[in-house]
Amino acid sequence: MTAKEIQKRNQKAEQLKVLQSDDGQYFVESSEGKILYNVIISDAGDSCTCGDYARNVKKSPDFKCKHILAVYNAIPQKQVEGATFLERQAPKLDERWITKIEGKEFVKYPGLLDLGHQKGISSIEVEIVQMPTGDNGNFAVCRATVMSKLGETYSDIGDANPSNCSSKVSKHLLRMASTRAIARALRSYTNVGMTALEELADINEAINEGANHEHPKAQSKPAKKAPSKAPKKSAAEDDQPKSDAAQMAPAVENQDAKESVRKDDAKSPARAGMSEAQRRAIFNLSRRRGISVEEIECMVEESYGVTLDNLTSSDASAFIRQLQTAA
Amino acid sequence: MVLSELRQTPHLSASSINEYVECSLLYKFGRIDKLPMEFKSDALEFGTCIHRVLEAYYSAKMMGDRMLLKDVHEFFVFTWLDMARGRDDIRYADGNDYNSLLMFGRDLLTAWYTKLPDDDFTILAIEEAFSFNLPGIDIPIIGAMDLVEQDNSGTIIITDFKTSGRAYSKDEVDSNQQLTMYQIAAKQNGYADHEILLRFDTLIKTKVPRCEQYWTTRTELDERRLIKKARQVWDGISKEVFVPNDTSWKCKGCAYKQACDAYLEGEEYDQASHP
Repeated sequence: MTAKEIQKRNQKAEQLKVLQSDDGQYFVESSEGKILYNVIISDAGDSCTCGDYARNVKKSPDFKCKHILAVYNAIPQKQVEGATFLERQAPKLDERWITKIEGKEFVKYPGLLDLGHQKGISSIEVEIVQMPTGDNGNFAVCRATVMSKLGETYSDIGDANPSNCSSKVSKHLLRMASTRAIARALRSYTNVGMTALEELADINEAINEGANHEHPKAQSKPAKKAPSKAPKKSAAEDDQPKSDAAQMAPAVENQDAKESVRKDDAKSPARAGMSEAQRRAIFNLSRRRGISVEEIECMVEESYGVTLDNLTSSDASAFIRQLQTAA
Repeated sequence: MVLSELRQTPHLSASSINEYVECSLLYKFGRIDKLPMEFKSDALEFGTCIHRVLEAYYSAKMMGDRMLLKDVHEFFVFTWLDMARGRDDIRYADGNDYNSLLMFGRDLLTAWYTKLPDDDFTILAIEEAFSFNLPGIDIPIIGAMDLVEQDNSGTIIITDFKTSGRAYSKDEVDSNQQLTMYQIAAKQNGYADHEILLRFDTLIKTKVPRCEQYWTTRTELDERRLIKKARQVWDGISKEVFVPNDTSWKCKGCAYKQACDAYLEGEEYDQASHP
């Protein structure tokens, strides 16, 4: 390169904006301001990602393009700006929507809605399964279905009756059942394991009695010490009427537990354990998405309250769909 | 009825629906006018050959035998020889010829064979032909599932064998309508009460050949979307709507390029002049 050429390049280089991303690493904006070239300055040699550099460095290893010269010029003049990178925004549950009661965390309904909308809700539909009447002990049941923008649907039920609501909402049982159903469907969609505050029978009671409001699936977490007994014990406990836990826990969850006792676990396809093919699908999908085995274990624990090995077939199906939509 | 017999009757399939959507004139030339292809691409012939080898491997496995790698190689060489040697209607891509694909096929199958997971799934069917009808479509939907397996818990695994020049993206796997059609077919043909998983076993023709399994599932919504699309395709075919997509990147390698040019340039296509 002749002195004249260097001078010409230097003149062009003076106009360019230089950003520093790391030690020895810079981005230099093109003269049109449309492209950033990555310039590396090191003892082993300098390099740039521009075409001019790629063409000329083969002929002359010491070649310096205008972007490299721009960095050289900018450093002594302290005209290097710090580069900031935009982080990809992942859906996040804001901490203000989490409340702690006796050491146990609960999520608030608006937080679930907020998270749901971040992930992309297409629709929320609520169907009345049972109107509260005198004949059924004013027992309202609703089913909510949340549909994501990708088309997956998450459905769950919620109930409300005078004994599982605070006195303030006992006149609005249908609305309460609807809120609880939506909260539960949103929890499935947003992968939130925490019980929603609105699902509790009485918030004041919960505060007084302590933190026994875990998701029933979490209660049946397969203790590694006694995996075969844990689920049975949980179901039996839930089945005991009028126990403290049953009184405080949301009625829907009691109902789930009762149903699980009624059904023969081994015979019901939904309750059968995850199949080998499902296991392979889970590991294949997670590998392709760069999710480690440890992360998968955590995701399963958070969503279903059990270890991966103890997932039911239906939960494994739902989890596979969840993984499919994971970025 | 076997697939070859089913194919003699008017029908739709996952690939024909796709073909109609991508270029309905291509659909007309190939499936209605039944024009002979101007050439066969080497990728298509090579893929068919690999497919036959995998079919042979799983047929042996179903019988309780396991083909060794050398048996797989032998079967491939024999099949490729039978399919491709001496043929002048195969158009080879740059750098490919009969011999180079013979060598490459062996390497590709080695990559596949060594990557095969050691599972004990029960093989229920190989090349399982299916036919079913959908409301609003007067002709049946037909096709064949390359491999249908079942694991110990009863989960059905439907696999499609693929050879591809590159790895598949997440979206390609998760939105592939061939697999969606297989799920609909499986449900229509007695597997509705089973958990169904879908899979591509893909032999990737990169410089260093490799093999990838892609597992996926489909929701009822996916099924409904495809059925709706199939109805629209059938509507278009019934009304003889055939629109050429002559700006596609696929035009360059299309086996009906001459017919398409003649059609677009106003001449009546003379089938006799393009035997």
